[in-house]
Amino acid sequence: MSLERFTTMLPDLTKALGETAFMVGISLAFAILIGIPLGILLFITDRGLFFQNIIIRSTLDFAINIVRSLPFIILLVALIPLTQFITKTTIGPAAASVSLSVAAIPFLARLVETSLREIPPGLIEAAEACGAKPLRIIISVLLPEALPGIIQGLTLTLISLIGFSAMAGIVGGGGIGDLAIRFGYYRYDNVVMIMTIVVLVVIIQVIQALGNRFARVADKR
Amino acid sequence: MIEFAQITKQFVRDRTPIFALNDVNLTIEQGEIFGIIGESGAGKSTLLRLINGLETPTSGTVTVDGTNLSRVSKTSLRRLRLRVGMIFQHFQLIQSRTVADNIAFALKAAGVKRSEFPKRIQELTALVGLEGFETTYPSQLSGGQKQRVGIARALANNPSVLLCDEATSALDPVTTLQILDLLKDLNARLGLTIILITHEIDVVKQICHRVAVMAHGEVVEVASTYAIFSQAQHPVTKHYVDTALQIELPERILRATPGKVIRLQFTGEKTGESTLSEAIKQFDIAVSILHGKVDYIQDVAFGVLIVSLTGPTLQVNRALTWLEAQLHAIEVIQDVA
Repeated sequence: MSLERFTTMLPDLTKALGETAFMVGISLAFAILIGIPLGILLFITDRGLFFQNIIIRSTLDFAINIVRSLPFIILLVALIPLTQFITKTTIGPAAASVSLSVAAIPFLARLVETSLREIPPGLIEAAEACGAKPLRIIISVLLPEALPGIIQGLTLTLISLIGFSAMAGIVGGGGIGDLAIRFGYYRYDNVVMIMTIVVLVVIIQVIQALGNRFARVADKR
Repeated sequence: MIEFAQITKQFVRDRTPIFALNDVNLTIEQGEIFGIIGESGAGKSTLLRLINGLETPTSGTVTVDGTNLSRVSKTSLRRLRLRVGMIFQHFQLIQSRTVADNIAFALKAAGVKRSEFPKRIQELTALVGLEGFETTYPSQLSGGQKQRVGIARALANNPSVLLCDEATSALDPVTTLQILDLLKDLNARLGLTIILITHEIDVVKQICHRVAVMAHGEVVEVASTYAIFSQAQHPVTKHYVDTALQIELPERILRATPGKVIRLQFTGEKTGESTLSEAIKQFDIAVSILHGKVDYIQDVAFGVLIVSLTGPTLQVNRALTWLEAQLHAIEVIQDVA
């Protein structure tokens, strides 16, 4: 009976997984493209560093704190006008990707900043003493030295995004969380509930294990 | 040539101004190994970092090879830094990059063509004695090897000046000597001007031609290393020299020794032994050496001896007067008739 139910639900499950992968993929891509540079900017504009700029630094800091202080579910609703503007719709995985990206960018930026802070200030100074330009220092010193931390940050962002994406069902975003709510919660369908839990647990374990592995390979300390 | 003129550096900490440097005037010549010695907080590190613009003075001017650092743009400051290498106490290597890549970083900073990298890296690893370590990561190297990588990186763009910020303070004594030998060799072979700061008088003694002694943000004495050891003027300098030449006679031995016990310090031209043997002949007294230490600073002997003089009181006193005239530092430790 359960097995039969499982087989009939399989197409729904794969579709939901596909939607989750789509939403999470897009927002992770934006987090990498925008969040990492923002994290670097946050770091190098801080006091005593080579791009020291209090205005840029405090503005960024303030904006990031605002986004991060909102629970995702509220952000999701609050950003409906923005979503409408960008995707011309407010339902579906593409629409959910807008809020997910907005949440992921400052999240990753903060993690990147934190991992950059672990670089000894003396090393950055040594790079400056070599006569290196700021971009050279970012590419050849800051990024490689912070790489293990950035990989850990990406792992954490990815896992948080999968968690956030479950809420996307609220605005008709689809995905695996949506599936669990619709069947497991509204229809008391325990098979679907357990199925989604197992799938999520496996996915998260695999992501974390891979993240740890990559971070360890990158770490030459 | 590097020139500091009326340099002051003021920090504000907890709203009270602190003078890190106070009216420092100093000239360092091309090709010399110049030491700056002082306790931590004496301002030596700040002074060193003025040379490559890591610090800027509150007032006064720093001139490096004719370039006034307070007037240069960021771009020309970067260009100047290619001519001034620097090494650090904690090496400050890029941990995630190999030895070759660490050296390559300095080459990239200077805009050297990639095709020239392998040749330059090979030359530099050979120069510092690190052949075969090109693909090694810093974490797999010993402290001395890490500092060699630091030196190779600092010399990558053929600088005329090398700044050493407590470069041997994190190393064991044997490795310290090896690194100092390497620096001495680089100075002799490449004509590299080396400016090093340290709190260890032994480092100064090993390789410096001239030395500046710093205390509380001021340069209290500048002289050749030999002069610093033989005729220290300032109390701080004397303290350093004393620690380098500290010898202590055990109390029991001192009490058991008859006659006059004197501590005599001698320098180059007249060594202690030759003066003493002359005194023995001239005054017919017995001299026995109880303790002593002889050092060579830039190949000139310098030392301290504790000896006892025995014989007829008159002769001993005459010998003492004569010795005082011959050697400039004599101290009577014990006078038992």
